[in-house]
Amino acid sequence: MKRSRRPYQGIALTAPVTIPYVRKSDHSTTWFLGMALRDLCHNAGLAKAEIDGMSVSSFSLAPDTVTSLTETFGLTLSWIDSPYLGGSGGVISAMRAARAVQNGDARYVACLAADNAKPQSFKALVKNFSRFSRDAAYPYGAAGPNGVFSLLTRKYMQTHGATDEDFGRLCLSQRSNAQLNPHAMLQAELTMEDYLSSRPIAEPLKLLDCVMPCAGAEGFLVMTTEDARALKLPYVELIAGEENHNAIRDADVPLRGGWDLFRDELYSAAGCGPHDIDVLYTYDDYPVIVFHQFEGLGFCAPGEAARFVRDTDLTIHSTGKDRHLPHNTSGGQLSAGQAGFAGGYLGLTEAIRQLTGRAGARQISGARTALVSGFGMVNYDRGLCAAATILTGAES
Amino acid sequence: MSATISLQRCNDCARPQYPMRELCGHCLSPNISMTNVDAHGTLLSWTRLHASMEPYFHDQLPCLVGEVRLVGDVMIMAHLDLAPGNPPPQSGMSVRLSLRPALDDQPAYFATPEQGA
Repeated sequence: MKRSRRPYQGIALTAPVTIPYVRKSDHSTTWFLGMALRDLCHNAGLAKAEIDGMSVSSFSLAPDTVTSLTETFGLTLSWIDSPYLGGSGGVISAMRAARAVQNGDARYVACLAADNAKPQSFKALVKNFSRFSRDAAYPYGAAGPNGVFSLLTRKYMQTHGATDEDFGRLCLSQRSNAQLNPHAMLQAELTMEDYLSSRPIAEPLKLLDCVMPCAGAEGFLVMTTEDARALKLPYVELIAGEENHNAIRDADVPLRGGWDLFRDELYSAAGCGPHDIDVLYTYDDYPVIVFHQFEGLGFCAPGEAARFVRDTDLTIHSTGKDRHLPHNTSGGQLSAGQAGFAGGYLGLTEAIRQLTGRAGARQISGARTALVSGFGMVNYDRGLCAAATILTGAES
Repeated sequence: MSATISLQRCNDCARPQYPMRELCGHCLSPNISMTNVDAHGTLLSWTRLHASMEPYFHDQLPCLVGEVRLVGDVMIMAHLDLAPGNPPPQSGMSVRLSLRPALDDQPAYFATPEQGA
């Protein structure tokens, strides 16, 4: 019999926080996590002592661990988690925390992610990311993720006929959104000419296909909807979530990331389909991965993402194309910046803001249902972890 | 055309594998040994790198790197060894792998286009 996840019921995500991103910081990752925790408690009106669960995602926490942080921050907890899942870590942390709350293992879970963008920590991370990567990928130009994703991008372009301009349209749409996000690192207007003429990094990838590493933190709280209402907190409900790991094992450069394999279960659990999604948050480490998500999550057919991007307004405000699907409304990592593993949280904190009507100048009127997707962990020649969750705003 | 490279193969299920590991990724047998396999494969995708985190590569930039599939569905990343002035690589082209010292003087795979390919 096929596995079937039990439903997520009565789970609230609330109190989204962002510790503003900076290009470089003398502060440690622990400082960023502590600031995020402080803001979480303040925003939720919870005393620190009431937090009884904590999930921390970071690649630059060493020599500390999430356990160290309980002492550093003066917390006593009944549940901790430290998902090391790269860009899938935000969605999966929310799912893990949701289960902990649903099962009564914790009542108020602080989900936190931060990194501090020290150049040496990034090189060390890349060089020893995994055995396979160290032995069989890094020695070939030491290009890090840019190298692997350039191979994926060329494969996609050659198979489906996507062009530089198609990826450029995506990047321009996100820059347009970032101009309404005071936290975004990159806000200058971007033209197609700017995009196309940005310097080559790992062909076909150009500088503007690559995220800007920065320091920062993201976080949110997970609790029951009952508790969120009692605390009078605006919240979203997590109604479905799926993940898979090493699902695409084709002996070829992959054209998909694994979302297509759980898409039906995801929408079925949420009782909706792609056309019911009001705002979409994909994991945008590279534009081609966003194309994989548009296809894998059913927003267009396989191979059709370039046409989808041409025919769809992905910006906050419609410009009159056939379809309007606000996407990565914070600017995404491509424009807001990638604060390490906090990049996997970016879609979640923004989705919570949108569905609770607190996205300020970026607010999508009537946004009720969001899909947030994650992707991460290149062990050798492809990302291994795909995840997605569907969130709904509370009935008003 | 007897070019070969040495890869791990499982002595129980006979599958070749790469990257190297201490057990068979298919049947989990620890009974692994090195064996010579045909060094000819297909270039699946390639990139021209303009940036590297290792100073070793800096005076070689831009440099070509690709991913090659051998018989047995083994996937190997390799430097692409194209003589200057040659046309750019083509995905799908036939290549032959060989080992030469590269970063940190460690042996690394180089893919050379097949004659007449």
